[in-house]
Amino acid sequence: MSAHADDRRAERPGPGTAVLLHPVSGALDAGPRHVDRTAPVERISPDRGRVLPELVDPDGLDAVAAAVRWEVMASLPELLERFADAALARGAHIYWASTALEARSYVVRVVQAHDAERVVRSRSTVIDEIELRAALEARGAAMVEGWDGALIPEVGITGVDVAVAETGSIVVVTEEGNGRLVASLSRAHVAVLGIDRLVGSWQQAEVVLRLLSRSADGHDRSSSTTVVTGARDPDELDGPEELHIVVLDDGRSSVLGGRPPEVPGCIHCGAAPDGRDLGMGPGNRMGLSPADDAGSGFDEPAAWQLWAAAWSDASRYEATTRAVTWGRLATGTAGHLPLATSWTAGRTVPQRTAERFRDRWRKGLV
Amino acid sequence: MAESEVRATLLVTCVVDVVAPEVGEATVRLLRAAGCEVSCDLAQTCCGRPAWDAGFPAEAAAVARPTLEALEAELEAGAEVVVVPAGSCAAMVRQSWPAMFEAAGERLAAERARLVGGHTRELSELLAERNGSLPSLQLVRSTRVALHQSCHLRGEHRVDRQPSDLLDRIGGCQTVEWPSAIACCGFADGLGAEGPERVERAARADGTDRAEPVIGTEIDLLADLDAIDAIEPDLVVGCDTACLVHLRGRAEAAGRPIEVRHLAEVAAEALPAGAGWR
Repeated sequence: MSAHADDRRAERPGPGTAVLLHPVSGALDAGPRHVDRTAPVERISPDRGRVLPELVDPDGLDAVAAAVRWEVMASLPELLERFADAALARGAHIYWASTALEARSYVVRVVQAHDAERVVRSRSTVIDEIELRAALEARGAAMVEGWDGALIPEVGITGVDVAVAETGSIVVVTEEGNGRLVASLSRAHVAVLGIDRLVGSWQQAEVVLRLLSRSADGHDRSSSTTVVTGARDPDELDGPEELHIVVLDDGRSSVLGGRPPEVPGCIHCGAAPDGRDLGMGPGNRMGLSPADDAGSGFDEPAAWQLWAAAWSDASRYEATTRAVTWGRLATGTAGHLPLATSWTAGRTVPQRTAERFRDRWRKGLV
Repeated sequence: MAESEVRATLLVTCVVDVVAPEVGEATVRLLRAAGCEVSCDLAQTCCGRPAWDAGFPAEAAAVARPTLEALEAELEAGAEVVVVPAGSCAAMVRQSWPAMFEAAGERLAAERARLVGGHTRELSELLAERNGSLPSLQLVRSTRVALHQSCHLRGEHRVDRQPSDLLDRIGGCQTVEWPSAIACCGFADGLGAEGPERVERAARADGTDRAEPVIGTEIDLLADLDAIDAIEPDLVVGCDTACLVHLRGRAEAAGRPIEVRHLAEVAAEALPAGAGWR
């Protein structure tokens, strides 16, 4: 048995580094073992290595982004409602899909309603996730890539990189502009939105978008960032006549609360082209598929690296723990914690708050 | 007669910080009532125990480093003792930090950790050392308490009698015998440790040649809930929020909820009115 920590560690191949690459100084680089910490995408894009130092992190952008993600996750149900209301008001169709099957069936129905023989897509992991291609082919419709879709397609499909609740807008980021092509030229645009892509405001969207491309492939900003807000109005020049937004859960909500703190913080920059490189779920979903835990999907070293990256300084610790207490308030678990019931007479039980100890200490309440 | 004031700095622990801030507050009240001037440097994060227990010393050290630096700064600024309201984290700092930093290739940090460890006390341990300083403790309503002795506190940190001694000092508090008092709550498994392997690793990591296991046999929950029913405690009390929350969660999931409370909360509850508030 090889129980000694170092032996055990050295036996394992090194995983790629975390979402936002923090070369945690000192400890992670020290020690007797050699681990290849090259993020998968660095093998694809040398630029990433050049610009990543900008991310680490002159203005705390990544910590801000983590805080944004946590803030969103803490109020996800409300934000989803707000997003849906705003999108409906702009003429979009909203379909709530609990599972990949539901999402797939809905998209197929839309395609059939248009009698489309060809569906053009802009590549997206969420489209792979719902396994759309086979379902379309079974019904005689072909799915072609955006760059092959020069002819004006009846139906186009994209993922959503960021959805903005305050305006009901969706943002599609691509390098070659396939997203723009599909969103602009299709009569019906079907956008599949994983619920973890939501943000509340454009201010939050800006933070995520600034990091997205830099972290993914080393560009400061994507060459093509397409915003679609609702279906085309009669007085508008372009945009889809029909906009269908499929809001997809597919296991996300059930695991967002129970993962290493960084997982909900993932901005899906694509640095892990296949989530399995991080020991997470396939399709760059950062472990958002519960089923993966059962098999070989969970990579413990990667999980600890993520944890270490998040908690190796106080500001990141603060950002990642804040939402935990918010969540506690939101879900009413506070009532189950010690002191929730008065077990001695003659004492007022303090008003329960969702504050951490450090918040109360800082305010001089302790 | 109260002893002279001592300057204590708090390692609040991530679990207390996030899950049970009331335990941190009770700890501060108790310390103040015992004549301590309490400080807390918020640059601290976590002791690194979860990753260390899972066998990842470099990651553990990366997380522990800011905490080491925060505690060091406090000691340099005049604090005389580091107080930890959790046996597992206190044991981590005093027993395992040097080995962890060594394993991560950080010799200097290991030396610094030894110095910090020498000043580190688990809460009930410090209160026992300052026994004469606490005012008399009296609960308003008599309460039957079953004490859970957390594995790390007893087996690793070597604090054994202090929690029950403190309970014995509390008027209106009756400690009932609980056969499973020294069994593991089961949380150790949740941290990725697997029974015997964990024991071996813990023993080797701190360089001691210890025959007795650190982690007790895991509680047989259902049998144990029967035992709890039989002794009818009002509260299950312990010195480690992680264990308590885990015990309560398991019991709740089994449909037989129990009330748990940190020792600091019970003792702070028994302080004279107004004691320990600033």
